This record gives sequence, structure tokens and C-alpha cells, in this order.
Amino acid sequence: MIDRRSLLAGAGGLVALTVVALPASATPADAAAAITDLFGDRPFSQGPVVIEAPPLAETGNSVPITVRVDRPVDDPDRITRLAIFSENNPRPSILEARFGPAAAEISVATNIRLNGTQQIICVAETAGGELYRAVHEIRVVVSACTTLEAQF
Amino acid sequence: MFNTRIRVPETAVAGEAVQIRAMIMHPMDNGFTYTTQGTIIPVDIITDFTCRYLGDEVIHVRLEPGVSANPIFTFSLRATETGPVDFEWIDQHGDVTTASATLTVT
Repeated sequence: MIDRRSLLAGAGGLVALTVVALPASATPADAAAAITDLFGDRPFSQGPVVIEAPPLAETGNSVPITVRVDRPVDDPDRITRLAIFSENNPRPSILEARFGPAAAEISVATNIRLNGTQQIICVAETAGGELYRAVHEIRVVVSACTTLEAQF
Repeated sequence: MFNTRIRVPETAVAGEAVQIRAMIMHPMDNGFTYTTQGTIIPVDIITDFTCRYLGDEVIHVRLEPGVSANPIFTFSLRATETGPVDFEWIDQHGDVTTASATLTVT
């Protein structure tokens, strides 16, 4: 005999089945590991790295971000490489940019995906091997990783 | 080959910092989305973008799935003499998409 309790339990099970498993997000420790992978285990110093991004993004699918280092490119200790990391995306590394001799300034603007409210980390490396780090928090209303089945 | 949109000014003064924009029409599938049939769409991304001016590298970007669809990059180069600005995108299958523009320096 089917009573109300078992019916409700069964319905709950059906709901659980239809929920699509969301990708596991990274943790700040994963982001730190990704930074170590790319730049080695070196200390950071205070530097002229600037992250320009909105404090609040309505959708995480495309968040405009500009990363800039206020240091002339003809400085002997110029910035050669920078990378952007996320503390909460499924994959902590977002992009890595290398600047060549023809660049006029150390600056790149693009759009990135964000899985929820989190801190964005930018690490820049100088020709002398020094590392600079900047952090920017972005609140995200709708995560980029919530696309469910048949939501088109 | 994918469609690209690039913006390079036609002329520049020598020594000027010229702003460049380069975009490629690519879905940048991140491996977490599903088709209407419920099958997962595998990762399919552009992995490398390079811009060269007069053969010298301006910027090289290594992309990961965390970059939005239709990745666009805005950056600047130092105009020195009239010459080509070449763009190159490489996707994860090794296919290369190129675009080029000429910058006239006065």
C-alpha cells in the first residue's frame, strides 16, 4: 500500500535524479597550486599590478577584465609575463599572457568566465624574476557553470 | 578557420601607442555544458593567440576554458614603421586561423 510518506520520498528521489551534477569548483589552495605550477614557489612583493573589473557582474559567462602593470616597457626590469587565476572556477588558471618587445604597455583586456562570487588573482613576473600579485573581488549574480540540461 | 574581427588603426604617428583589438568567433566550450539531447559537450577551445608587428611578438596569450566564448583581446603596440600586424590563433586540434592588417606609420 502506498502511503503519503513513501510517495513523497519517491518524488524526492526523482527530483534528486534529475538534478545535473555541477562541476566541482577549485579552492584557494588549488589556485595557489596553479600559481606555483606556472611561476614556481617564490614570494610575492608589492607591485604596480592593477586589475580593472566591475565589482558586480550580472552573469559569470562574460566578465570584462583589464589587467595592467604601471611600469614602462623599456624599463630593464620590465614585466614579461602575467597570468590570471580564479579561486572558485573548476579550473583555477584562466589565462597567461607573455609580452614581447613590440608591446607599448603591459596591459591586456578580455572577457572571462566566473563560477560565482570570488577573488581574481593576477600574478606578474618581471624580467629579473620578481613576482607581483594583485587581488580583486567580483560578486557574480549568475554563475557561468549553472547551465543545465536542455536549457537552450 | 574561424571568422575573426580585428581592429588596427590605418595610420599612426611613429612612437605612438596604438590600441589593437582582436576577436575570434569561437564557442570556447568549457566541458560543462549539455546539448538539448543531454550529452555533455567536450572541451573545445582556442589555446594560443599571438600578435606580431614587423615580425616581433607583441603579445602571446595562452587561453584556458575560463576565457569567454568569442575571446577578444585589447592591447597596444608601439608604432615604429609601416608594416604588417599579424594575428594567429591556434585551437586545441592544431588548426591555425590567421588575420593580418597593415599599419601605416607617418
